[in-house]
Amino acid sequence: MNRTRIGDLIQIKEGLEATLSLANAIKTPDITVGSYIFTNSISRYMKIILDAVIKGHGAGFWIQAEYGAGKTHFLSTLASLLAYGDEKVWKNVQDDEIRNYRQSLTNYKLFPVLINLKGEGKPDPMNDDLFEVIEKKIEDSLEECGIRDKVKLTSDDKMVGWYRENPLRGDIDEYIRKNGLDPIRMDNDSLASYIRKYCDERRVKINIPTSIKETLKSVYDQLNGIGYNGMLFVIDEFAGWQRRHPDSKAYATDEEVLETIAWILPREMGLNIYTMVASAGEPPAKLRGDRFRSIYLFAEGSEREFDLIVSRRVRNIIDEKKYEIKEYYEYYRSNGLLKKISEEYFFQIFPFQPSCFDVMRRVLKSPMLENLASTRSAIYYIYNILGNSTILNRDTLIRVCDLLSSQDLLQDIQNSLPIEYRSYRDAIESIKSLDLKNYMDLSEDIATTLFMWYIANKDKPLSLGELTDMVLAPDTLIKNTDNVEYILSMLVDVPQIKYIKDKGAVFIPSRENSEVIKTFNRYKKKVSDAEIRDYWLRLLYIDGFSSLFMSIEGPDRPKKRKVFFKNIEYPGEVILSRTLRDEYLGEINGDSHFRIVFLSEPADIDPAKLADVRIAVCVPSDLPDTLKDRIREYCAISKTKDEYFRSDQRSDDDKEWIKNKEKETIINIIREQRSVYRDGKVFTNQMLPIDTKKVFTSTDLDQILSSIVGTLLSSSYTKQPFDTFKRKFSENEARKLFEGFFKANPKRNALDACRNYGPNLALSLDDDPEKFHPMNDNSIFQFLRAKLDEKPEGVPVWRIYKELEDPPYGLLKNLITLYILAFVRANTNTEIRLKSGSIGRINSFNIEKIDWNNFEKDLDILVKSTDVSWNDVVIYARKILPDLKNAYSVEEIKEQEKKLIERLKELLEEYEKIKEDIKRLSNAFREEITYTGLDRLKKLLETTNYREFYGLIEDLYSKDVSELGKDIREFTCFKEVADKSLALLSMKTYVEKMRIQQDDPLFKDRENLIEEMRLSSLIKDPSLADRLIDDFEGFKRRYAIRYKKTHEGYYRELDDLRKRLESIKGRIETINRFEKLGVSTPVKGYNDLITKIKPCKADVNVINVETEPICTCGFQIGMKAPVEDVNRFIENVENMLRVGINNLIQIIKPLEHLDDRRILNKIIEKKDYVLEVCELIDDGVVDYIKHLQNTANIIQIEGLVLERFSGRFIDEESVYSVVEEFKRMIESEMERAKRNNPGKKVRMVLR
Amino acid sequence: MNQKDLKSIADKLKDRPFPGKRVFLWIGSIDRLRNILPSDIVKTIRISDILPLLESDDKKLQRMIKRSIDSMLQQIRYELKGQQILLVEDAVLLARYSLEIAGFFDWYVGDRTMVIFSIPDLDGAEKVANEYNIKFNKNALLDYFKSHLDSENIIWEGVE
Repeated sequence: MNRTRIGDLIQIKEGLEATLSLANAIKTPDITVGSYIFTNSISRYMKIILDAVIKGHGAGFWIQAEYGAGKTHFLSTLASLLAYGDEKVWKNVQDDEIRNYRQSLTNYKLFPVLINLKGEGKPDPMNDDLFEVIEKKIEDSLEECGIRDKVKLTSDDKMVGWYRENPLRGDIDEYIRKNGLDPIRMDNDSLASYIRKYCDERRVKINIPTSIKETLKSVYDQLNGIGYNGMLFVIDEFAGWQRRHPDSKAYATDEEVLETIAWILPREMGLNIYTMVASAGEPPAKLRGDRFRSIYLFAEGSEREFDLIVSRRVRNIIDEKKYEIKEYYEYYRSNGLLKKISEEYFFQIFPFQPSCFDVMRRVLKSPMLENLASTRSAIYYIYNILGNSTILNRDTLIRVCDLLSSQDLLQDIQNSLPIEYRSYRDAIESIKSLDLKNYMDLSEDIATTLFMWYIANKDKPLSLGELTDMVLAPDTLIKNTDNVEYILSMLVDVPQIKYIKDKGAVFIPSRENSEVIKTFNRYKKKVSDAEIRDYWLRLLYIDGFSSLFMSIEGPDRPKKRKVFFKNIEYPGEVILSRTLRDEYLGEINGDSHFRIVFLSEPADIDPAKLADVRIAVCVPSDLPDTLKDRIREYCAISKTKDEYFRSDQRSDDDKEWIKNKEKETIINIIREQRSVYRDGKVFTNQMLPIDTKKVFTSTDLDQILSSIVGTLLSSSYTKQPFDTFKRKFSENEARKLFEGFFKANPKRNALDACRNYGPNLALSLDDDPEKFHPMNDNSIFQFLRAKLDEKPEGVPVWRIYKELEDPPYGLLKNLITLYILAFVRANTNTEIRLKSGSIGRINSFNIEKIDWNNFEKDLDILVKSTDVSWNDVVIYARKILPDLKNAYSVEEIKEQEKKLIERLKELLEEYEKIKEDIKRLSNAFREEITYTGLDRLKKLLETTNYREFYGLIEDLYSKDVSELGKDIREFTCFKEVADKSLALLSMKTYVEKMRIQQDDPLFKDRENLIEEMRLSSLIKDPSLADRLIDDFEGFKRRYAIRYKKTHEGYYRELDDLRKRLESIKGRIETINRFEKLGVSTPVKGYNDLITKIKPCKADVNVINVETEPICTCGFQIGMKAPVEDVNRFIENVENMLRVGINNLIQIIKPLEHLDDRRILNKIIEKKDYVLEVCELIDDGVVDYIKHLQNTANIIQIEGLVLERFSGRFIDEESVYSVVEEFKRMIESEMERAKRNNPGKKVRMVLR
Repeated sequence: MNQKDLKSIADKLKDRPFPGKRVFLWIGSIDRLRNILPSDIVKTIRISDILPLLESDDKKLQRMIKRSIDSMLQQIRYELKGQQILLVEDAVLLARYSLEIAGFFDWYVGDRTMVIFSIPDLDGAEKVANEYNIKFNKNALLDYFKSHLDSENIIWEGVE
């Protein structure tokens, strides 16, 4: 040993702890700061932050680094300095420049709010509330700082503060007590919760700040008041916190809270608040830029800082031993090693060879190893190595090959890479078996270094120079690099170590010296040529790998495949075979359009034997030796596998190796498969020039097939009416085209298909692709037309399909169907007859009714149509609508038919109206009408297409156009009369309502008019109606004049009569008074007479004779006023009055002596003056007379005698006896009256 | 993660410290859990031992428990020698009082330590609760832990 052992030059640290928690770290700020390693970049970041703090304007910093890189320690150190940074803490800072900040920042007091979000949050993460966490942490911090009672912090505090000074406090206390609690014993948050409940229930408003901004401003101000310079928010584990509630309101709130504390409060309100957020992720977009300054710990370019941190965390250099350490440096330099390493760096990382860290870092990031936390794990592995006394006793640096002396790392590698590790161990064993003499240790170091390099960098070769540096191979008599190269050459028999001069060395996990390899090699030597051919064929279609014919199930098992040609999917078959069998040479039939045969062995093919131009035979070249060798390997590994997997004795590692070897071999063979066909040939009937080099460039069989089939079909299908479609023409497109062109209201996708494919199929024009308009040069139409010309009696549809499927057309079944239907649609004189059992036929007009999915099987023959044509119908149709004309295309015919049907529909509507009107007239005119022609025509009007129309013309009119004409004329007559039905009806009604006395001259005119009103005559000759209406109007005018005139005269006369009657009203009253005195009977018939001469209420000048022939008063021309009746009545009244006066005189004379008022005397005096008597007799006088009669004791009774004699017949002989009887009766009545009225003088009035 | 993985981590921790913050939930029999853990580094605590008596106000109780747990964890950590697995037997109470488990991260877990919260077999617990007419919502209990722990840190007894 020449140099001091490394264990004496360093001091290994104790109590290593790589995982920090913010809370713990801050408890011992001096230790936290003291253990922190300020690398260049860390120092730079610290300065940025500390400078910002010195400026005193507040700021936000986003500390980003990957997991385990030391974010928490960075935050803890910063927080320790800024919040707990007394002299003792600052003194421990390891970096001189940073330590200098203590002048400005010692005793600079930021109030710390330290938040570790790991484990925080609500049971439902969607309810997470960052501000609530911050409030809680501020509260904790206040307690920690002993100022809990000096700062009202949370809204709970403020709530309690508000309550304490509120007059409602008593009420609230009582409320809480009712809930079984004592407000004095409650803590703030429970108390606040009850205060809130109380206020909610009673709708009491609480005026305290509750927003984030207001709350923090309030806290800040209070802290300022007690000596704090500002606040420091340190938030750790933010990425994990946000992952709890992605895309939620809580997520947005996080951003809002952070923006408030880091930006709004410092910038808008000038608060000196610093926020540091540590996260494994980037800041949210909203918080980038000015809001948070990003600091990325250990970003690219600072790799060496990893070396420093790890070194310093595990050991200290013993200052006194620097000279000895320098000896190491000089020693290696003198051996041409570590040329790129500065002395300073050497000291910083001593006792480690620098590549240790680079390899370690890469190993930790290697995808081969799982769950190794970056820097933290490295610290443990390295620390572990320093626990190895053998290493500490050495006088060489710790090298890459020494890393495996970390038991932890070794264990992790064994767990994660068992096979590779076994392979490494095999290599070491192999080396030991070699005769390497003095080079044994170095050889093992080289193998171990290459193994570690393999984990770190996989297949990347390690250059000779680097390897020499890594193993620290010393110069001897031979230069160290030559030594290493020599050893590598010695290791040529170690299968895991490969060295290529000028490139470098690599470790390859291999097991070549094991029993299983030997078995494998034994089998390999025995593989025959026949086996090679068999296995080659088997591997061509092997499943589970990307073999060339993976999708083919096996040799000589034809596989249906579809290949795009002109962007149409053509079905065909693909065959893999060892030899070309006879059945592969024959014609292609049915729906198939190609046959591609891949032979597995070379063969010479006679093209003439290929019966169909659409057959291609792909023949491979001879297998190259290298490929044969690989197949041999595959054959051997298959056999080895059989042997090993049958036995339970074999190790899992061997089986794993077999599996990997098998997989690797298969992959290598498959990789070669195309090249054999690339060097082969493709045979076709026409010997088409198919370039195998190009065809087999692709690994995808579909593409290979597409290329071969494309060439085959383009030379076979020369009469296709279309070019390559711009879009894929899938199986459904023909149906969509059919629907788009021919169905009513096609869907959008059907119209899209017409637009995409119609013009290319020659079925529509470029400028209007959605409309069916076959092009003249459509070769399929020409084909069909020629077929029909050749066989007008009909062409079987199956034959059309057959011929169009085959070259030179090569159409798919769906397309043929489409073309046939399109042809029939375009040619109205063609039709498709359906097979027996299927009803009807398909022609231009019913194509749209076809159900595409279910009709092909019914098609029988394509034939010229025998159906009635529009032009046969038009002669009759013109009777209905004269504008109709001959037509030839479906569109024209449909247009003409449409016009006809619309007209028929109009006429049918008219028919209904006519029938109704005529029925009404028939009732009014009281005439039965027959509608024979009209009803016959109605059937015709109900037809819905021209064929039906024509059928009825045959049935109803025997195609006699004149008969149809008659019915149409009748229809017209009916219509004309029906059109005037209103006028005729009102005329008829008017005339019938008229009442004219027979002696009136108009009576005769009315009779004549009624005679002319005959409905049947009008229908026969509708022109009569107008004349009749004219006559009526003339008559009506005359009638009106006369009616008004006679009406006026009549009522004038009535008026006179009424006046006369009214003039005798006083006399009638007198007579009625007489009746009370028993001297007269009452006047009868006055009221009846008055009623008879009642005046017309209508104004004679405005009587509307236009609508009603008779006035509401019922006056009829020729009516007479009742003059005679009135005269008779008046005369009768006069007579009654005179008789009454005489009778009155008779009864009042005996009373004169009692007449004090001298009234009776006056009456008697005036008895001859009727009018004066009437004036004297009023109701008072009547009562007076009755009074006088009472006074005179006179009773007046009615003697009902006269009525007994009324109506009796007497003759001459019986006069006397009758008079005697009359006398007796009177006497008897008188006697009875006297008896009944004793003492009274009886006066009898005979009745 | 299954019980085999948990055992492997526990065994590894027994051997040596290694970096990470390891907090797991065990659902199943506590005896079965003890069988797979290296008993010499297991320390068991019960939340029920630190439950304050005579406090009916949930919020207040929550805060008191949290402080007690924090203080207990700091004490355990302070006394820690070598590696340790902290087994929280009646972790169901954490859910009962909706306590955040932040304290375990703040004060306890580290390179030498790990925490296992244990809750009994949920179906069995539900059955017992029903027998005594106690309201028991096993989903709420699981959700509580799921919200704080990654699913790979939840281990069901018997699931390999």
